[in-house]
Amino acid sequence: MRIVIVGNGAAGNEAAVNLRKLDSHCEIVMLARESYPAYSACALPDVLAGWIPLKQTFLLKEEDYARLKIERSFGQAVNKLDLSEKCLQTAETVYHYDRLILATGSQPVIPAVPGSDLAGNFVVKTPGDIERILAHKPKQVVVVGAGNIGVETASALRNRGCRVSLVEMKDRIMPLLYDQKPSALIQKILEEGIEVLTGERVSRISGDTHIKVVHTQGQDINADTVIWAAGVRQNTDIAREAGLSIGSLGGIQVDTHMQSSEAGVFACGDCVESFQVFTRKPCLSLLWSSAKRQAQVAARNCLGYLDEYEGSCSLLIEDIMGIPCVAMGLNLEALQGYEVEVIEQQDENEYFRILMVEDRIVGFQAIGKVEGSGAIFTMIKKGTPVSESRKVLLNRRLVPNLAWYIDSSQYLSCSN
Amino acid sequence: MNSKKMGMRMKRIFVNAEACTGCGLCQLLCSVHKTGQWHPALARIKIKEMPELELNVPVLCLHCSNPPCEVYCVMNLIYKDPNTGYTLRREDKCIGCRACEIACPFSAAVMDPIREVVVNCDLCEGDPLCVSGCPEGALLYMEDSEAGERKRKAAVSLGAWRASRPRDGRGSL
Repeated sequence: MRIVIVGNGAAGNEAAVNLRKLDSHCEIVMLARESYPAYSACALPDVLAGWIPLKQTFLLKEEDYARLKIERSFGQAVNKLDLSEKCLQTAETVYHYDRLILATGSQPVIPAVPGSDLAGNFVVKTPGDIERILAHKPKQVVVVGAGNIGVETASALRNRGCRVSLVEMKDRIMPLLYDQKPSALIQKILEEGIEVLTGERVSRISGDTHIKVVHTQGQDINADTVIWAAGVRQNTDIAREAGLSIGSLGGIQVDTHMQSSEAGVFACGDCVESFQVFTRKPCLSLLWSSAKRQAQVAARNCLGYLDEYEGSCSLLIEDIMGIPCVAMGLNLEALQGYEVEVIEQQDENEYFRILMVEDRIVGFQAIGKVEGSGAIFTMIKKGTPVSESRKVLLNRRLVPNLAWYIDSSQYLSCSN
Repeated sequence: MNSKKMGMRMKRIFVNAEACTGCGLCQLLCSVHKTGQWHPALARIKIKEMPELELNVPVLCLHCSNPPCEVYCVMNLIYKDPNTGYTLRREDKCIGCRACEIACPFSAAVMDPIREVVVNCDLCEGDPLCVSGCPEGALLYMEDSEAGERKRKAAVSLGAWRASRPRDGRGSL
């Protein structure tokens, strides 16, 4: 059997490795527009910060692909997918497949702002982007978008010695991850080294050939570099043109087996529309871990092993100026329409909040201390009733067998 | 997938919490063996205290068959050893992001603050010092089948067993 994978990000490579684990005979072909071997996109800010060398972000070497018998054709884009003929076309070649896995990923959006085409505009997505940013030798940087990528990039460049301004359109930083209060606390920590402007939008970038000034509604910021972290768009062109169903949020529609609307064509990673584990509503999960798990499911089902995706549940840990911050599950904004109970606790160095709907934990945000939050994450993912966990914690025969409940007690004990 | 098959062959560390006095010797042995330093915070085994229940529960990596840490690792450095089924890591690749630590239900992935990498119990090449050093027999190193057998026997004589808490260095499950 010939299985073709399009894309060499987290999902594409995880799918390829899983296919080989399960089947030593099938033919695996990977096609990708980018020419890099597998790399960790999550580690790229660490390179910017100067903590690790760029070469450490690469995850598979030439010999690994050879050992796994994965045929690669990197560096050429797939232009067309023909479902009836079961083939893919690049500029030079036609590739036939028996099964197809689409892991085409996403790409950063650069809004059409005057000046966004000047030299000095960058995104953070591939190793090439990092090389270009470092070659540009940034000194005064404006990072646009304070999601996790924006925040990580801003702190990384600060660490490199740049003067950094972080511009966010919404009223707070990391608005999709944190609620008002923890977001404000994190902003305060960030502001020790970074200028943070919320509720501002970049309206214009001026300069001759290079960037000189970034204009927002209220401010003019001197800068030589702008990094866009203002969101991504799903790469679904070939899927859309081939006639695969596209969901309401713009991702390729898949079932719980990660199969698209066409039998034998699977999709995983940033390009798909999955569902949130608690609300069961469609969502775009743009996380490394979701991509890997979806790729496992796609690979297994592709070979006829049954496996179902359990739904996306976000988990993000950030190092903000040396202080660990964690966000799991959903925040208040994402839980509109539910009756949410908020449990929070704060002292000098630590803060946490738990969001509960009925008897279930659905979100968790913590600053300063992350030890033991794995228990909470497990409860969010599994939908464990809090009352059940309390029963276990009171029973000395059950506790040793369900040891992960113990860690949750430090967070739940204050909510009686 | 093949984890069941693997599970039959691998020896693991089982915990008898009833026997644990919380002395912390296992942690000291672990830390000194793995890091050369004598500090419980560096140990890959933790003792969770449950004072209300008068119970100490040693917790360490369970080598899950589908480990969440493996999925959450952004460097893809956590893997299942195909022969033993143990969850191992290529520590030299770790960037210390701690995603595996917070994905683990048991907090069994531990940050090594000296090397700034996250580590887990690797069973010390088949000779775990925490097990041989435990004065109470609270840690047992055995195959799943043997542990199951002990558990069944223990269930039969649970009443008698609980009355005479094992203190002779041979804890039971």
